[in-house]
Amino acid sequence: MGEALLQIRDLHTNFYTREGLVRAVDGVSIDIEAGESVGIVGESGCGKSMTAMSLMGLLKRPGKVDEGRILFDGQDLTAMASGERRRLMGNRISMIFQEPMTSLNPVTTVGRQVREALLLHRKDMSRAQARDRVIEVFQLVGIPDAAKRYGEYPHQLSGGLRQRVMIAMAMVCDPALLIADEPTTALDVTIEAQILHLMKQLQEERGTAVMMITHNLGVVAQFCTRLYVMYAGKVMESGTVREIFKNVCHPYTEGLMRSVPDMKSRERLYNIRGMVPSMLHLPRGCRFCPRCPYSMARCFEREPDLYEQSPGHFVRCFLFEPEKGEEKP
Amino acid sequence: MASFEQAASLAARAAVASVKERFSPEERTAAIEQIEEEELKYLPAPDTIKTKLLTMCRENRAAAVSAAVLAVMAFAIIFADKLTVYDPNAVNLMERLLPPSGAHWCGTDDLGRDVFTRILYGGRVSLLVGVIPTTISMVIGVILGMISGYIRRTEAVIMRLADIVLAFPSIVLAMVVMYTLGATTTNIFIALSMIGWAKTARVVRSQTLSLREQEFVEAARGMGVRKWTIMFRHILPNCLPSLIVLFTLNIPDAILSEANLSFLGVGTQPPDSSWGLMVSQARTFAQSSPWMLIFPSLAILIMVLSLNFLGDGLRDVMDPHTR
Amino acid sequence: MSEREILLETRNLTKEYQLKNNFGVRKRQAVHAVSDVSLEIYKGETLSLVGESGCGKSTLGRMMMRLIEPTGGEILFEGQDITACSEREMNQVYQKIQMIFQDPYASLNPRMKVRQLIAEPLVTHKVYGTKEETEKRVKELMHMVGIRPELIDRYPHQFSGGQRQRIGIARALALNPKLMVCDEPVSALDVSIQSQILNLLKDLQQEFNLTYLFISHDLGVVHYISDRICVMFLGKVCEIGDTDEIYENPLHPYTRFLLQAVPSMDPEKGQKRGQILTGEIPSAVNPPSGCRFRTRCPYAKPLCAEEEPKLRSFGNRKAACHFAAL
Repeated sequence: MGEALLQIRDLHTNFYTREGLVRAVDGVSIDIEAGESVGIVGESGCGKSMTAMSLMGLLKRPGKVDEGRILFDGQDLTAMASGERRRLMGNRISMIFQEPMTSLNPVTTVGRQVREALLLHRKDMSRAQARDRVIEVFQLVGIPDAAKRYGEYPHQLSGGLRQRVMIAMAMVCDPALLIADEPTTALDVTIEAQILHLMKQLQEERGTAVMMITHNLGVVAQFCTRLYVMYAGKVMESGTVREIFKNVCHPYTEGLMRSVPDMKSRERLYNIRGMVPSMLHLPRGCRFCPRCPYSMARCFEREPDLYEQSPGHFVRCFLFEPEKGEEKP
Repeated sequence: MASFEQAASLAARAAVASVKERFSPEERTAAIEQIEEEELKYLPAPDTIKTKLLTMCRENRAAAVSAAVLAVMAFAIIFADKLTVYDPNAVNLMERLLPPSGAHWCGTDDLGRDVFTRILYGGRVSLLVGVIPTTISMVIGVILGMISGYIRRTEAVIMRLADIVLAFPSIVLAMVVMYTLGATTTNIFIALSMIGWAKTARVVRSQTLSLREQEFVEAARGMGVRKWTIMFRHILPNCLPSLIVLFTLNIPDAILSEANLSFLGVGTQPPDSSWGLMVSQARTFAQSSPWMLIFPSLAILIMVLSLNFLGDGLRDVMDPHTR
Repeated sequence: MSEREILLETRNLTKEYQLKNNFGVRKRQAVHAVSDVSLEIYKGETLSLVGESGCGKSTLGRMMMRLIEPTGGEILFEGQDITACSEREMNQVYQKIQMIFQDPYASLNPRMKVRQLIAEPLVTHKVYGTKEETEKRVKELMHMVGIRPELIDRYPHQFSGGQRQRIGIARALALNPKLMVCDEPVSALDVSIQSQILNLLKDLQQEFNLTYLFISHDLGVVHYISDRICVMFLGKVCEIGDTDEIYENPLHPYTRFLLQAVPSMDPEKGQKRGQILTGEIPSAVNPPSGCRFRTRCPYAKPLCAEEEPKLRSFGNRKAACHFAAL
């Protein structure tokens, strides 16, 4: 494997809460190649958003990156001075959030907000140039009447248009990496399809790498080439989307896939029993074992590693532990 | 769809593995139950008022100290006659305007009365004036505020009434009441209650307006719960945090209003005293005998500060979300 | 098909919000939240209301509980028009219709314990005489929805989203209702919890012979849970009929686009799925003339702007499109 655009290595993000230590991200490693779209899938509290926040340097107190390296283009973000890092953010790396309403300032026109984002990183641009560039990007992301919309306020736009503005803001500096945190969750299905289509198009035309954080497996299946499945702060399974959807290995991933009603059969839905454990008191051993239908004695005692099941397909489950010869008592 | 034969193969793989493992289903269930049992243990125990207060004392030092200070003050004020040797109203011109000393801890005033004694006795009036009208006005304010927020057609009437009260300089309104009813302590209560409710009503109304749109209120309506029950069971408890803060802010207000009334001659009548009256009487002696001014002011300050700290602490523990 | 018993029926149900200008004077314009909706819910079935935000599905559901007063039309529950009921009569109705809400965080009063939450409908309608009986019933309900009865004295914030939704369901079940209005009950939940709740709802329906009005925007969930579906667009019914028929062969173009827009779980099927619906949802203040969907519809003809399509029957189902054909 060549040098990936983004390499997250053994990232540990901890929250020091009043109730105790929460290991929100517990030794996560993720690679994203230039131009690739990678999905990070998991349920709420699995640490997928916290991974993105650590990457963007947006962690709020009492959260802190305690260990691990985040290499972007060969530079370690965690070791960088904050000014230098800020120059990257919004420029080479940018982010789209879930809620397009709350991520836009309600008292400034959307055009101005995008222009400010641009001027922040392109100091040599004049305001007029920046304005033209913003309108150009607005057209690119499919905002009708771009020049008119430039002067409108967020509340005058519909949810879909607001999300387009957010994408425009993220794309205006032509980033190498776009982090999308549940970009379509708040949108209606038909609008979701539009936005996904748009993102796909931008990604292909501009060669932007996308890190798609979502809980929706359908979105991943349609949008991403590789995926990481996270559970309670750890990566449980990773590999190409084709491989995982065809040959799902981890019991958790399997459970997730079978829990989604598929619009075809009406057979009783599969249930993963129980609920996500409290991050304050994770079970000993594999963190999925109390909910796993296949858990074995050793699952309750120690944690499995990531085992390479087939090239590029890693699974954190003892069922895929390579046999060390024949072990008999 | 992610294939079911795959699921079968995963299950088959697991079956083989578990035979190797010699891990019976019963053992598995037991192991899982043990983990679930442990998880249950980690759940915080249900709160009672007592545990809430204890947590507050443990986690919020300022609130705990304030509670203690208020308790001491209340004790001293209630048992003032046992704790002092002087008569609060006995004029002794030989000892007028003495600075603080061993005999007179807080000095004496222009008529030679012991300031410390007068603070303790004056505290009785101030404490009553602080607590009683505030309570009355808040009860009125809460009820009217909730009604005007929840039953929309009453809104115009009640809120315009509140506007009228708020638009008047409150002291003028209170004076009118005092002049018509006569200057007695009971009438101070009435006067202060009459001007205090409007502020509370405004706060409660705005809270009610946002709470009534909440789904849990809708859920209650959908169950056929009557509107009065909704107001008192669902809306009022959720206003509580801001009401506590408001209460601790209203008490000093009331104490100061009483001081103003006394200063204008329609409040507490000399020779009786209150903290506010003492402060206003000490005004002329501020330069020559500052203790007359300092000590009653300190009493007010300590009481107000303690109430605020305690209010903040209470609000924090009462709020289920932050716990 | 044998004649099934109708539990609830709406006739030309309409809700308009009058817009006011800054001085509180009524403007000519009104928001047409729900326009002229007539549908039947049969006993024991699950009817789903599907549509995107602003299509009026939640408003419709809330009108059936009279949480929102309709501005026109009638709602017949067991033959009785509940829009004309007095408060006392409504009390009877409330015992038979219950609601489950979308947001398990907002729909439970944060200052009440589980005990009080679930007991509230029982206390309100004075079902049991003694505290002990009520508590017994509350514990039974908790057990039924899969919450440990030991947790009876906990506050809702001590539970996870899925468990809170279970509490909400227990509360709705307390009075043994006939009809449950489920307003997006699983859309705020994680995938694995969502399937648990869906299965629970199905089990309860079986056990207590419940009828569901299920409001959702998730077409996968709707397919799984419902017998019949009703697709709405901007306050109007586009299509109503048996779930399987509609999913196999949608008659209304909007239904078709809606179904196509769902991201498929099959990566092989790939990114070349059907047409994407362009444009935004029009405003409900000034809905387009004629067919409300025409501004987004790629098949729109001049007729669509002139004449509003009526709901027409096609076998077991109905669709409101001039060009719909089996």
